[in-house]
Amino acid sequence: MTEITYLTDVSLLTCVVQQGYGDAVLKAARDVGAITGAIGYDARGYGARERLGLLGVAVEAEKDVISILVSTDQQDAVFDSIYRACKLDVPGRGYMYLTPLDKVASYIPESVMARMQKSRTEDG
Amino acid sequence: MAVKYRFGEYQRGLAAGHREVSFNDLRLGPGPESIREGKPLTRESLRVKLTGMEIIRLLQPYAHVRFMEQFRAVVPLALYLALFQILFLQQVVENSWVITAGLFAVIVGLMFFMEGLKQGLMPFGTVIGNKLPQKSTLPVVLLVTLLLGIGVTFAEPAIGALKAAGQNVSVERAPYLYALLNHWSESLVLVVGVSVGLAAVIGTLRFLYGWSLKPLIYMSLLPVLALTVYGAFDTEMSKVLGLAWDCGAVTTGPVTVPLVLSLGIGIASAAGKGDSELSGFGIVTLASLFPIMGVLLLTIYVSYTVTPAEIIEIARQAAAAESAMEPAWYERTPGQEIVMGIRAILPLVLFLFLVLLVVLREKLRNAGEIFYGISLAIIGMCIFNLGLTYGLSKLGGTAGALVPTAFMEVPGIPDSPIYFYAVGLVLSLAFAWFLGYGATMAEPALNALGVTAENLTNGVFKKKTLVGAVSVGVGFGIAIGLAKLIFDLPLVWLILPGYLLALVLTFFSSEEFVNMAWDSAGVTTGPITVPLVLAMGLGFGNATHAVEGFGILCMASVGPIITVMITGLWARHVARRQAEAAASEPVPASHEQEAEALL
Repeated sequence: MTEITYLTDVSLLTCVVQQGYGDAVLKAARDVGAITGAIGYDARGYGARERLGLLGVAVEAEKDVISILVSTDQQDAVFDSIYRACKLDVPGRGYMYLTPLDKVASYIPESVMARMQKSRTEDG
Repeated sequence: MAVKYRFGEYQRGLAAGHREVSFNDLRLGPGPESIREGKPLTRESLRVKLTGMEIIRLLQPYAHVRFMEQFRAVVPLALYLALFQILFLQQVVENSWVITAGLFAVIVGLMFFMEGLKQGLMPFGTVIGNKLPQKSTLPVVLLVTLLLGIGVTFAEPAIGALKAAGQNVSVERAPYLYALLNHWSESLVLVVGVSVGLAAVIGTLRFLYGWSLKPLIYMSLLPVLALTVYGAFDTEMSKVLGLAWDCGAVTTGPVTVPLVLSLGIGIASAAGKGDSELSGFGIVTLASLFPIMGVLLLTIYVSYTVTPAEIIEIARQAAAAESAMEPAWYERTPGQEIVMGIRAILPLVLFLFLVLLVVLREKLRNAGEIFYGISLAIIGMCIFNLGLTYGLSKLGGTAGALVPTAFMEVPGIPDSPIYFYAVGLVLSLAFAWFLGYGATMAEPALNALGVTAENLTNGVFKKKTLVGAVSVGVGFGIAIGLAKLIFDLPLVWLILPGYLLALVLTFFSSEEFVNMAWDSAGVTTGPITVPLVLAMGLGFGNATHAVEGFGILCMASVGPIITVMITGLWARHVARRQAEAAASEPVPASHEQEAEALL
């Protein structure tokens, strides 16, 4: 039986933007050093279009959804970076949310594992 | 003892300007008091009110993105034409303000039209494509497809360019051509529309039954070539050949392709055929071949009903009558363009409504948005038509008329010819080549095709390779088309070898490449390239005293077919070579060890 390594202090950052802006989200995340797992979806949005009446045509129904795993230490920096890069303060651009995750498990490269164990013993 | 802070807290401290608001306080939905009071929820109570500034901030990027999309397509081409005239021909662009305003109208018109198409017409296409095959029998579906083919042809922006081109044809020298573009212009578009409809029907049947495209190409191309050869022996009919072949290139534009495809793909997926990557192909190919046959048959019909002498007589009378009385408001600009715009869109919209309400018995969802889209499409079409007359056609026409001054004497232009004959000739052909190459590289539809090509071949055939191959093909096509006008070559001499070569290559190529190559020809000719190249050809033809200036577009169609298939064959050859080399050469020992170490 192999031992399972739990990763803790992880958050899931989900960003919903107009189609075509997904790359901008990824770039903004990468710029502040968050390059661990990311997934992109093609999706359709509902809500703003209906509630804005005819003005809703300016809000693209086709969305890019990007989910990024970030460490809790990084989460605020990534959150702000994406907010600014995607100009989420402009109406109709999109939104994002941060979800705390209980634990994450995946394959961890041996070199990374060794480094983590080393730093833990040093910290005492 | 030192105080410890977590790095995350430090970062949070660094970033200022945060404020926390409870989502409950946002009142996006009904507030707690209205829930308590049991107020009914209505659409109105959920409506969000925006202030004027917010509306501007919402609409500004919406308009900006769509404007820039068209701006990027129009401006480089226009600049290229203008700079060539100024730098190489040393001519000032005449009426530059009118042309600039016209080009601006083209940009705005296309921006409105494309957005209108997306908001107002595409929803119909999607609904009908999804529902019709489930609710109706195959014959009904095919009938709708046929009628849709006619409707979309009338709505295609580039069709207006054909009609505009008709005014510059001399009735004495090419009576049938004149008749087709003037008295018979409605029938001409109708014939082209029916051909597109038939192509859509056969294309749909093709991906319903999984037919190969090759036999369809042989079966439709051979009669077309036979008719062309027949027409070439008739002195009067031979002047219409260029128009007939150009019609094929004009038809497959931004309205036809998505609307017809959405119906076709709906039919295929309803039949459980799924939408494989290949299923979208083929319709475009057939839709660019069938109209040629249609126009040629119409010409034969016209030639049996009226004689050239009669046409000239009618034209003379019409000209006399026209000069005698003031044309009505709907025959003058801008009235004419507006009437044309409405006539192009409205029949298609009415037809789509009828299918939706009568055949499908579906209610219209988002009626407001669809109405907005349709209005936008009509307004866009009208503005585009205005821009076509004053911008693209004029610019193309003057460029075409001036380019010959590089190598021959043109009356009214001092110092012509500007260069030695050979130098000017090379310069003109290079101008044409780069025009085709550049215009094609910028075509957004081609990029989409490139992505599909990359997926289909698992990345062997890069997007860049396809775009490059098509652009080179169009470049050579336009250069050859221009050479045809300079030396006044009969079009058959160019078409017959070109398409026969394409047929031979088709025979040897794999199905994927046949699909891509033949479709790329239709994809390249968008609503900006077509009017520009048509007008340039006609202007050029007038300046060099060629009988007619058509035929450039069809050379631009056959060019990429040949280059893409050659590239495909070459790629296959290279892949096979590499496979052979890998099989025959033993893998070096050190590499083997490395591979093992990695595993």
